[in-house]
Amino acid sequence: MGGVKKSYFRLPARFARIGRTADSIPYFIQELTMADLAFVVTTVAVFALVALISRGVTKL
Amino acid sequence: MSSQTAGVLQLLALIAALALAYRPLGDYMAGVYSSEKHYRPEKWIYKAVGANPSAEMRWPAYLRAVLAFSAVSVLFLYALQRLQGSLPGSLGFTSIDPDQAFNTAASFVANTNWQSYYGEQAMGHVVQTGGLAVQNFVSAAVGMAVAVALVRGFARSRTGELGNFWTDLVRGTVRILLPISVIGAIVLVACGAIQNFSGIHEVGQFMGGTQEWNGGAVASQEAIKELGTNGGGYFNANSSHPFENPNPLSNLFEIFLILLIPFAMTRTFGKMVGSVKQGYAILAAMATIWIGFTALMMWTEFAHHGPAFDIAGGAMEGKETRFGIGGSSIFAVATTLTSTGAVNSFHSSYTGFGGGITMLGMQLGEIAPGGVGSGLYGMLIMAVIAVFIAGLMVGRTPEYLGKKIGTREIKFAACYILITPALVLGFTAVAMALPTPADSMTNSGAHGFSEILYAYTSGANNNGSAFAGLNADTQWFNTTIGIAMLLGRFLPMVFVLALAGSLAAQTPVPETSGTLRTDKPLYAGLLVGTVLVVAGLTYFPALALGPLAEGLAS
Repeated sequence: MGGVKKSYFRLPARFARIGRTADSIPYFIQELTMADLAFVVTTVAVFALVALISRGVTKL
Repeated sequence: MSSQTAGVLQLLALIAALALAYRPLGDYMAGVYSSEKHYRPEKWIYKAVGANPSAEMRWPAYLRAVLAFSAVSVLFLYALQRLQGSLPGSLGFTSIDPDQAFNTAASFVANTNWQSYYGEQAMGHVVQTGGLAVQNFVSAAVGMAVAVALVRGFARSRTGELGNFWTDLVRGTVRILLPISVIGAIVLVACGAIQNFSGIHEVGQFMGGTQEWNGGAVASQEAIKELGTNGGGYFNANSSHPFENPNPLSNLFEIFLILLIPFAMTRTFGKMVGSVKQGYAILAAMATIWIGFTALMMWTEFAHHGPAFDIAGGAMEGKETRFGIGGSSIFAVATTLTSTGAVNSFHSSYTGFGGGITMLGMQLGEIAPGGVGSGLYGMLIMAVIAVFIAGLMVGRTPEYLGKKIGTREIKFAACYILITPALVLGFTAVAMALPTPADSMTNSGAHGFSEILYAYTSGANNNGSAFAGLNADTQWFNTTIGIAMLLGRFLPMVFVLALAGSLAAQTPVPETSGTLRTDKPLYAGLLVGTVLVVAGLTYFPALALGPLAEGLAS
């Protein structure tokens, strides 16, 4: 996947603050994607499932 | 000397070395887990994580600690890989893709070390040493801690307390794995394995062109990779790479490291329950299966069935000439009967029956001798099943080590043995039914089915070895094998700890003339039979579609 190209037009003044914010975000955070969220949720869900099953096991 | 003789001599040398280490190491580990004393560095760790090392835990608390520690470990390792591109010391490698990062994080925390990446082309020094190598230590220590908790369940009475997870984790790492790994790394360096933080070198090839070679802290990672039955190689070629495993001596030493702790833990078990003979019975069952499988593997790989095999002296495809058929066969059985998964040869290239033996080794539940900790608790679960079967045969309430094996205990043991096959067969069936996963298979027919069956068998059993031939670096396989590895590691632990808690709360029953002696050869034989029958009944239909069909057709 290619990198994000810089825009070649000047943002209107009312959007200047947003533009500055995006530029100031560190590169490693810009790399994070929705897939990261999905895998973090998957990890938490798997461990939560195991914990839930363990609560059921106490009743066996 | 013929290659057959060399193979047999290597096996005998290995047995002698393991026998020499068995008693001192087993006694030492029993002392470590029974000691009241906390060393100063250990106290610093307890203080850093906010744990009270003297507090006893009941099984739900022990399990919560295991799960919390492991969940945080997965998330940390995931983040480390995703941020690799921004970290120093990464050799210029970019961040790992999300699905592969998830798979690798799950894999190393679950003590599986299934690798869908090329180590030398993907992971820099920071991730290798600060992430993967750390998990090689602590994931192994988690397995040992859970095994020790189960042993305490047998040893203790009228209390539900199983010890302290944080104490067991830290001691296993600091007092057992770390010192042996240091010695192991020195031996491997002496054998020729590399140990440096060098960058990438471009080297010329004999036939023209160039090739890029990495340096790295390989020997130190190799030692814990084998000792902790982890198996994740620094290089993609794993233990067939000359930087990891340079010669037949290092090969034999690596096999020794794989088997060292799992076998010695039976001595630890015997010491902690107050009868070393009980440990010998478990050891006898493990050793019988291991030696039997090794002999069978050598026989099938040395067999001559054609001109190419005659010239090579057996099935040499996919094997390193410096290890030969003997050194490769012993390694293949050791790595699949434990949860190691390191490879010094390509299991896909073994004969049909040879490939089936590696698969069956994992499908037994990796209990002969199994992974560090997981092998012992897996075999003890089978021991409970075996006394239950014996009890049914003679019409007595089964007992094991003075504890009654009642309905509750059998429910826990039955759930334990059902989880992994359900994961293996369920995921394999879904992957075979869907159109896309089949695109990853290099072969069609029985061998192609074996590729997918092997992948889920390896993942859910926390082995990590690859059959080769399957392109597992897809979103489907990275995600599903990742989930299989986590569930295959932590769901069985629920039932192990629940069983431990139930046993620890019991009042011991006195031994009578009708009590089944579980420290005798007869019981060891019953245990071996139980292991083979349970695994055979569970997996035979799937094996018949894959390696057995291929072996009988060839």
